[in-house]
Amino acid sequence: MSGREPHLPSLVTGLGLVLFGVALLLDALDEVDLSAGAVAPALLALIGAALLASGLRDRRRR
Amino acid sequence: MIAGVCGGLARHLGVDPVLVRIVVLATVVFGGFGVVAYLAAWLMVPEEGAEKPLLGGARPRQTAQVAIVIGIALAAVGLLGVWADAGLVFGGWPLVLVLFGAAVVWFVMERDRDDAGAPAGTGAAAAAAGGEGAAGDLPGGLADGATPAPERRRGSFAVTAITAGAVCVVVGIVGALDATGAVDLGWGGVAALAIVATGVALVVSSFFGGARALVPLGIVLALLLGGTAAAGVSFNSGIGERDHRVLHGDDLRGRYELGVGHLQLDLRGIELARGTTRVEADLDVGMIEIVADDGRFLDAGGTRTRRDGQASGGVDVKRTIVVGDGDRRLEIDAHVGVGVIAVGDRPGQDDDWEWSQRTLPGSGPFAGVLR
Repeated sequence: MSGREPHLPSLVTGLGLVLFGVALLLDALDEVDLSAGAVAPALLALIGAALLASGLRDRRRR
Repeated sequence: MIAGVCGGLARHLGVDPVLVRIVVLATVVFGGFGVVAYLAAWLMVPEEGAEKPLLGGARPRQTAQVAIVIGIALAAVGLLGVWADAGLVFGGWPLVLVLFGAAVVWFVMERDRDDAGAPAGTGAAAAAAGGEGAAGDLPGGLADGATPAPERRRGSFAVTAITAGAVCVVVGIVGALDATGAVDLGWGGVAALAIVATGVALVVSSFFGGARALVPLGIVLALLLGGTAAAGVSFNSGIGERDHRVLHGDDLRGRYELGVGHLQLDLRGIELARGTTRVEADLDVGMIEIVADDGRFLDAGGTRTRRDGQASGGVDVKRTIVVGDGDRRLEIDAHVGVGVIAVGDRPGQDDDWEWSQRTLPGSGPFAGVLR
């Protein structure tokens, strides 16, 4: 493992995808009932977090 | 043209590129093997003028050997009939995914191992350092050692490729287990696990420089699979047209289902059993059509009208349709992920559909029997 700080966009997007995937898995197993109204904001939040992380990383590099 | 594989192959064989494209297209349509072969050629055959292929160019002899092994394995899968009924996507896709992912991981690791042994300052050594620019932008162009290695860039091609390959292997194994019945996740569960695996792989890769190309891929995956999951689409029940004509209540099944296509339940002249019978009709994408004699629909639950009946269309459409008379009732719980639920007194034709924005009740031939 490299001694540098983690790649922020990968880390944030990865964590978001894990949470989102677990929610979809629970939906597939009929543990929860996800609707389009619940999924759409979660997806937007995921995209926003990824963009934010990418922007922060670029700012740090400058 | 996608990656120029057909044109390159035609030049190599000295034939018209159109001929090669027709052959490849035919193999894509009939069984899907052409997709795998095209991807394999794209990854393993060097571009014109380049010394290295996209993957595993350090040792072309071994690359060829592994390509042959993978080709034989895929052919064996095809001969065993795994793809026979429904083609690549709904048949042997887990095995293809595992083989493809394993090949990607193997090639990249081999390439890095070979490059690690190259003299410092060469392009190969730069690639071994994990630089995306080194590995991806300077393929074989620095073999003379005269040019200094470019500065290492984080988020390497190797990390991305290995991560993507590992995700393919994991998802393929889970898909195979699901297909054989060892686990019962369904298409939605496997898709959700694919997203989880991509997320875990991204988190792990972030400590090794990050898999930057996987970030947009993961988001696109989440958009596609999240959308289908929200619509209740499972893709577990096949493709095509299924017409069920039922004349006796005792012959009704508890559930009628289809993945993509047209699912018709024709109940004209049916003799229902006493009491209330319940059945489910589930379709992922397409149209469910319930046909019964005029006057026997007690509840059609429609929101739009057409000339010869009524229908509801959209995403995640759920309707309870009641057919019967007196103490004999049939309740059909119909669900369509993306598409239409229609009812009528005869099977519809495409040119029967005349959509309007009027809301039931109050119009159409069945309006008089709606509750």
